Amino acid sequence: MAVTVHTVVDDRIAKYVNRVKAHQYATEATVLRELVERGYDQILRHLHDRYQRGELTFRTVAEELGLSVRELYDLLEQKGLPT
Amino acid sequence: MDVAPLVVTREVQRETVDAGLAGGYPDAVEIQARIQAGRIAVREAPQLSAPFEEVLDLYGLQEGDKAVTRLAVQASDVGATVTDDRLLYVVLQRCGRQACFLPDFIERAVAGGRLETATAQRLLLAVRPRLASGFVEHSLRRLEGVI
Repeated sequence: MAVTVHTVVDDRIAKYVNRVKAHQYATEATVLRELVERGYDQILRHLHDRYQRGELTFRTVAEELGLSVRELYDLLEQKGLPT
Repeated sequence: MDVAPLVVTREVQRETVDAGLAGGYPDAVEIQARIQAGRIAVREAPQLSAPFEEVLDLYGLQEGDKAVTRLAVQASDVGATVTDDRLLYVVLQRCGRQACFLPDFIERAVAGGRLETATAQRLLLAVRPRLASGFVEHSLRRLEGVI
């Protein structure tokens, strides 16, 4: 399920979005969505690393991401990350 | 699942069955049927002493993790807790309780004559994508008798 979010971004990010938009003939929304996806992916991988190292429990990772345990299993499976 | 008497906490039931049924997961139906048939027991795990609970908080455990730990600490008939969660595994061991990873549980079932080796190997291969590299391979090599 997708949700619409209206937000204000920093000038640096706006410049980056404009540059990528021009290079890739993409819409502003697509570039921003990619940025957010990449940021989310980085957070997920960081939490997953900490889980793998035994610093966090699986349930803590789920809690940090605002997901249920079931949803986190699905997400990690989608990403090919071990649980 | 029938290789040993299984006990889960109310929290685990909520995570697997209640949330699973709501999300349309087929395994939730199977687990619910086993609970209703009495093949999986569901237990409440009362709180531990205040200092013990404080330690569980310091480890950063969530409510579901704490419930599993409380049950393991208080139930004298629970032989071992099966988990693939490294931190929970360490906490349980430090509480003086036996914990094992799922591949170890499968191996024990074979050793106890409750599961055939071929079935165990199939189970291990089925869960391999979900586990970190080395865990399943270790058990497979042991079942093959090469280590």
